[in-house]
Amino acid sequence: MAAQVESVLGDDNALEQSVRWLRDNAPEMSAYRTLTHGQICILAGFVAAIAVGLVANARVTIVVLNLLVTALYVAAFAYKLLLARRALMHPPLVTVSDEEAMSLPDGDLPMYTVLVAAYREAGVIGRTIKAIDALDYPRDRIEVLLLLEEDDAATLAAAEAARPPAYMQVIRVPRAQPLTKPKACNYGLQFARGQLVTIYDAEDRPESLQLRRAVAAFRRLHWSVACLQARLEYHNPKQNLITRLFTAEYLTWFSLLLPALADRGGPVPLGGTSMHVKRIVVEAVGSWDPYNVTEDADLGIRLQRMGYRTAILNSVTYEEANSDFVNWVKQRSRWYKGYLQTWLVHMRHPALLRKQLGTEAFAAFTLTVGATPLIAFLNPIFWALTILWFGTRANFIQPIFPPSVYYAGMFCMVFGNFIVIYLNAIAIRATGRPELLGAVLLSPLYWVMMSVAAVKAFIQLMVAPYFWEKTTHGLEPATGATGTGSVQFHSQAPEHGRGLGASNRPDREAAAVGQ
Amino acid sequence: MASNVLVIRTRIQILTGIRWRPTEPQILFVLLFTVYFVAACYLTLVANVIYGDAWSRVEIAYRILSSRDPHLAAIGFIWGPLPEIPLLPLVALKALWPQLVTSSLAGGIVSSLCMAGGAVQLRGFVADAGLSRPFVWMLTAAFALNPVILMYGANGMSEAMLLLFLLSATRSLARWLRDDSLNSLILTGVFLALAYLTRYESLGAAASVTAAVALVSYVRVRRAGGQLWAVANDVLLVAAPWAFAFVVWAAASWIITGQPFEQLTSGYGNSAQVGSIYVNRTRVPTGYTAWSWTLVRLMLSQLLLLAPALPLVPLYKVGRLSRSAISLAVAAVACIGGAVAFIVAAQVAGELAHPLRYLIGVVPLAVALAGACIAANQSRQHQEGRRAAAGLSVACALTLFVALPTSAFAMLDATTDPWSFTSNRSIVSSAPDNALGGHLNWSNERKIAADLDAMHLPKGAVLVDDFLGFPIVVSSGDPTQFVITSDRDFETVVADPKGLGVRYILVPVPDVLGSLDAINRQYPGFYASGGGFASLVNEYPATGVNDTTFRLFRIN
Repeated sequence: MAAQVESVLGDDNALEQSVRWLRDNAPEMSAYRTLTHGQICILAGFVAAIAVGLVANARVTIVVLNLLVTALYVAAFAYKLLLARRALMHPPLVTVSDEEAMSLPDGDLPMYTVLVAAYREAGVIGRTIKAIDALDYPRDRIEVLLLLEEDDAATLAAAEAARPPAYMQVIRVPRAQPLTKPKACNYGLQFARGQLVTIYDAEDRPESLQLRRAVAAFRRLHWSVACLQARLEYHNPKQNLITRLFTAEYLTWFSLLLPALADRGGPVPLGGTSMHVKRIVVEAVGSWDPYNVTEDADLGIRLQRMGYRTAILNSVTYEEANSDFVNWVKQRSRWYKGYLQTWLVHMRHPALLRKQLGTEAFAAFTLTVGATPLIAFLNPIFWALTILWFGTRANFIQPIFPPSVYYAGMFCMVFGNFIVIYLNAIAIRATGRPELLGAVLLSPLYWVMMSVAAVKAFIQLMVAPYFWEKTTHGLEPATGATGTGSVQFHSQAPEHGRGLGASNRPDREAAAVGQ
Repeated sequence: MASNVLVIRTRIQILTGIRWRPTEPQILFVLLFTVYFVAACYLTLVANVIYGDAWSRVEIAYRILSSRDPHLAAIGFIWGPLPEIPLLPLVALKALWPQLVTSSLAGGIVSSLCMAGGAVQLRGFVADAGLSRPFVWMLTAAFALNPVILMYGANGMSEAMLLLFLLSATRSLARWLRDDSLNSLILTGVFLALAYLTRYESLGAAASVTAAVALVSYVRVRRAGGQLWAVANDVLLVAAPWAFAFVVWAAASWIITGQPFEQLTSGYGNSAQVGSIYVNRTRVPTGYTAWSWTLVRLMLSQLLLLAPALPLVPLYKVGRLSRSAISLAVAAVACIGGAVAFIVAAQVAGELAHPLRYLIGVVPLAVALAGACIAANQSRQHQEGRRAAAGLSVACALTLFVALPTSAFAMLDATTDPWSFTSNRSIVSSAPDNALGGHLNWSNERKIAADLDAMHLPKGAVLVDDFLGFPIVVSSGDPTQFVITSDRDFETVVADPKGLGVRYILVPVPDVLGSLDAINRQYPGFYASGGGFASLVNEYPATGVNDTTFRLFRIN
C-alpha cells in the first residue's frame, strides 16, 4: 500500500505556498490578473483609436489595419521558415548516445524526482505506473510522486489497486482553487528531495533512458542550461486523420521549430511534460504559475528572463494524440488561452523583457507565442472576406472594402496555408515519417479546427481564465509497446556524405517493454 | 594562390580601414559587378545602346511609382514580375540621377548584380565538385568574360536574373545529389520558383528538375528499403514552391485582368508577337517556318557559336565518373538544360522567336559539363596516367575559351542574332554617325518627349500605348501628362478620348509590332487619317535601330 505523505510543515501551509507564492512575491509574473491596469488602458485606447478611425475615414482605417495584420502574418510565417532552415542546417538537438547514458555508474547519479499529476485518470493510472516503472534509473535514487486530488476517489482507488512499487508515493493534493496542474505540481515540489525534477502526464510513455540522458546532458552542457525539454511524439498517429495531423504538427514543432528557437536563444515555451529542470533553479524562479493554464510555456519564458537557458534533448516521450474532435478542441483552446495569458503576463514591461531576452528573442516571443492564437483567431475573418469577395464579384455589387483588403486577406490565407503545409512536409521528411504526407496536404482542415479552438480560447480568457479544460485520455486502445529510442535526425548528411545510394531511413532501436 | 588572396584581403583592409576579411566569392562578386557596371555605363551613357526590352522593364517600374495612376498592379501580367521589383527602389532615385531612368541605367545595375551573383554561384558549384583552385578560376573566367555574358550583364535584360536563379538552383541541386541534404532540396525548390517568376521558360527547368529528383529519390529509397512516401515527399519539397508561384501568379492575373495566362492570351503577349512576326515578316527578316531544316540549322549554329566546347567536352574525360562529377553534370543538365530544351522545342514548333539571347543558358551549361569532366579526371590523381588526365583537363578548360571569340562573332552576325546585331555592331563600329545607331538610337522618341514637355500639358492630356511608347514616357519630365496602358481607365479613355480630357494622341506606324498598339487596333486606319476626329500635328520618323516611327495627332 502506498504511503501517504504527511508534510512536516502541515498541509495547509504547503497548499498555501503552492497557490500563493508567485502571486504574492512576484505579482508581475503571475497570471492571477490577466491584464494589468496599464494594459487595460492601452487596449481601451487601441479600441478607441480604431473606432475614431472608422468614423473619420473608414476606408483608410480598414486598409491600415489590414496592412498591419498582413505584416504580422508574413512576419510570423517567414520567421517559422527561417527557424526550420536553421534547424536543418545545424540540427540543434542535444544527443546523448545509448552507450554514454548506460555508462554512468549508478553511484554517480543524482536523486531524481518525477512528478506525475493526474486528475480523473482512473482508467489510465495503471498504465501510467507501468510506463514510469519502465524508466531505467536506480530505484534508490528516484522518487515518483503521484499527485492526485484528494476528492478524486476513483483515481486514488485505482492507484492503490495498481500496487505501485515502494519508490512511488501517492500525494493527496488538498482541494483548493485554482484547480490546475501547476498548483498540484507546486504542492508536490515541496516534498521533492531530488536534485533534478521532471513532470510526466498520465498518458505519457517516456523512453527508458530519458532520465540518464538528461543527467549526462546536464553534465556536458554549460551550467546556465537549467532545463532540458525532451521531444514529444504521438504513439497513435495512424488512428485517424486528426491524430495524423496532430503528429505532423508535433514533429514540426519539436524537431524543427523548438530546437531552432532554443538554439537561437529564443524564448522556449516548454511542452508540458518531459521537461527536466534543476530543482534549485525552478524553486528560485518561483516554480509554476498556478493561474496559467500553460504553465510550462510560462516557466520556459521565466527561466530565460532570469538568465537560464533551455535545450532540447534528443529523447522521445510518447503521448496520446487526441483522436476526438471535441476533446481536441478543448485541449487546443486551453493551449491558446495559456499562450495568450503568457504573452500578456510577460509583455507587462516590454522594455524590460527586451533587455532580458534580447531583441531577437523578444520579437520571436511575439511571433511564436503571441501570434499563434491571434492568427488562428483572425483566419475566419479572412475566410469570410474571401467568400464575400467571390460573392460580391459574382453579383456585380460594389465591394464593401477596397480591393486591397480582399487581396491581402486572400494572400494571407493562401500564403499561410502553403507555408504550414511546406513546413510540415519538411518536418516529416527530416524525421523519417513521410507516410504522413497525405495528412499534411490536408493541413488547411487542421487550420479550421485551430480557429474553432482559438475563438473558444479568446472567450474563455475573458470569462474563466484559470479554468483548466481537462483532456480525456485513454481513447486509444491499449497496446503493450513503450517508447523506442532516440530518433536519428535526417537533415544534413556529414561532409562528403552518403551520396546517391544512401539510406534515408532513421535508425530506430526498439526498447524492451518495461517490467 | 592562397597567399595572393590573403594579400588582397589585407590590402583591402588597409585601404578601407575596415576590419572586413573578404572571402574569395565576395571578391569575385565585387570585381565582376564593377566590370559589368562599367560596361553598363558605357553602353547606355556613351554608346547610347539601350535594349528595348530592358528599358521597357524600367518603364514598368517607373509607371508603378510615377505615372498618372500609380498602383502596384501596373506591373503587368504578361511577363514575370520579379525583374521589375529591384528596379523600384532604383527608379525612385530618378531625382538624384536621372539617367537611371532616361538611359535605362537602373536596368543595367540590376543585371550587373544578377550576373555577378550568377558567376559566384557558378564558381560555387565548380568548387563544390572538388576542382582545384586554378581550374575554378579558369572556368569562372570562361563564363564571366564571355562576350554574351558580359553584354547581358550590362544591358539590363532579364537573362541575367534568370541565370542567377538557374545557376543557384544548379548548385543546390548538385549538393542534394551529392550529399542528400534536405536543406539543399528546399533551396532548389525556392530558386526554381524565383526563376519562374523571372522568366516563364524556366518551367522547362522546373519540370526536368522535378523529374530528376523523383528518379533519384526513387532509386535511393528502393536501395534503402524505405517507403515510397519518401519519394512523394521529396518531389513535393522541390516542386511545391514553383507550383505555388505558378498558381498564385496565374490567380493574381486572373483576378486583376480576368485572364490567367496573359503571356498567351494578351494582345501584347508572346503569342501575338510571334504570330505577328510570322505573318507580317517585315520588321525582322526571319524567313523561317516551323519544323523546317533551315530553322534547325539556325539554332544549331547559334548553339555552337555560343558554346563550341559543348559537344567536345565528353572527349576529354578519362577518369571514372565520381559522385561529384555525376552530381554536377546531372544538376546542370536538369536545371539549365531543361530551360534551354524548352526554348528549343518552342522555337522549332514556331511558338517562339529565335533571338540569340534565348540560348544564353548553353554558356554556363558548357562550363558546368567541363567542370564535371575535370572533376572526373581529378579522381584519377592517384592512379597512373595522372599527367595525361591533368593535361586533358587543362585542354578541356582551354577549349571553353574558344567560346569567347565565337560568341562575339555570333552577336555581330546578321543571321545568328537578327534582333540585336545592329545594336551590337554600333558599339564596335568606329563611325558614330552611321545609320546603325549610336547617338541616333531612340532620338525620335526623346524628341517627342521634349516637344511634349515644352507644351506644359495638363494631367492626362496625351494618350499613348506604352507597349511601344515607353521610351517617350521615361524620357519625359512629366509622366503624368500621359494616359498609358496600365492606367485603370485606359480602355475607357481609348473608347472616348475627347470626352475624357485627352488633347493629343500618339500612334506608332502599324507594322509588325505597331499593329498590336491599342489605338491602332481600336481605330484601324487612324495612323493614316486620324480616324476622322484628329488631325496630324507632326510625324517623327525612326532614326535609330530600334526606333518606331510615331505620329502625333491633335484631337479636333
